[in-house]
Amino acid sequence: MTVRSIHWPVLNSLLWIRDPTIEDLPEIDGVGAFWSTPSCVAVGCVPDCDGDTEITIGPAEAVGLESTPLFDRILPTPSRRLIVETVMKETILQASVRSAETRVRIWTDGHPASAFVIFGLN
Amino acid sequence: MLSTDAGRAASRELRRVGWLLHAHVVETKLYALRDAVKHNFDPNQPRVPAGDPDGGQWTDEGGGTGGRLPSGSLGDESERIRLAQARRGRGGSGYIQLGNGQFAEPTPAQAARYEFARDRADTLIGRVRERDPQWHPTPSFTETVEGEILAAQAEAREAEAYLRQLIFYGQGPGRNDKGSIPARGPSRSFTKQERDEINKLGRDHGCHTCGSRDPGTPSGNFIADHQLPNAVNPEGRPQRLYPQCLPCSFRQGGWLSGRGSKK
Repeated sequence: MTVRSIHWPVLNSLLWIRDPTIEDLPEIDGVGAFWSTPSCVAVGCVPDCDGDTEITIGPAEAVGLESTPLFDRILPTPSRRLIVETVMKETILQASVRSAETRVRIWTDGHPASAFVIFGLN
Repeated sequence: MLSTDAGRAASRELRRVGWLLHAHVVETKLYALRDAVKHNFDPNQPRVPAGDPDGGQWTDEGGGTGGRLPSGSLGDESERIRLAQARRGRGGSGYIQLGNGQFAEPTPAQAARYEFARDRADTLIGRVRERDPQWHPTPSFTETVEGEILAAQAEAREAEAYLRQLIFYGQGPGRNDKGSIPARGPSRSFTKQERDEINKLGRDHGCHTCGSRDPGTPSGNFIADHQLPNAVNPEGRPQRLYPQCLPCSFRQGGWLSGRGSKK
């Protein structure tokens, strides 16, 4: 698994991470910084009109921060892939994983509209 | 805003009650007319001329009094009712097309109730389609006029509920719409002047969806929200920009991606 990073103007300040074969998506009530179901997480980031968000995906030991992650849970990954997509369902990043379950940790700057989002996988 | 809505609702309800009352009177008179016709009533039968003590009463050729219309019947009022009948129903045909494709003639009271229900449903569906042009209410299969009235009422309820959801999810100008500026197009890059105008609208009046004066963004800028949103405006209709706060933008995004509880 390699580290991938991108700067992206994110529409509606929302990024999603999930296995592409499972579409059990959380309802967004607007309160908080992330929303999840057992197989998908949505996380808030900078509005596109305020600039790009720096988005990174990779092994947690390579990309993770020392601070407590915003999210830390195991997601099902039956296709051995995880995708990061936007509201318009554009896949902007993806990663291959080794097993049918993957521990996903998400780090942000702590603001609901975070300037960066890091997806650390194990 | 709420008081305006409540006032409008009360006004509609009053109009509806008046309508039903008039329809009931007309229906009663029509039944009386039908009974008179059944009892060998001849509409060409002459009347005793005005000025005569029996003026206005029905008479025969020989001048004697003939059979009167029953009390409360119509006389020349029947013409007015015939005209009213000709105007009612879809397309002014006097008939209502049912969900099974057949046409049925409603009673006057049914026609009034139907027109009221249909009018309300069409108004609400129109308001929904301003926000979601592709939306259609759930189709109904009806075989009677009463069924068609219930179907129209159900369409109105469905459209009203969906409209509430659309507003909550930031589809279309929100309840707190106090101003907007024209969008140059679907582009998400804005000039400084546009940003300043959106921020001023936001600071003065709040988020167009929820009314919050706190944009919730790290920059302190309100989000310039395209309405209609680009995702539901494939025809490229002219758009406007409204100030929106971060939580409402999140909700709108969830809905747009099909992830909100749309229905």
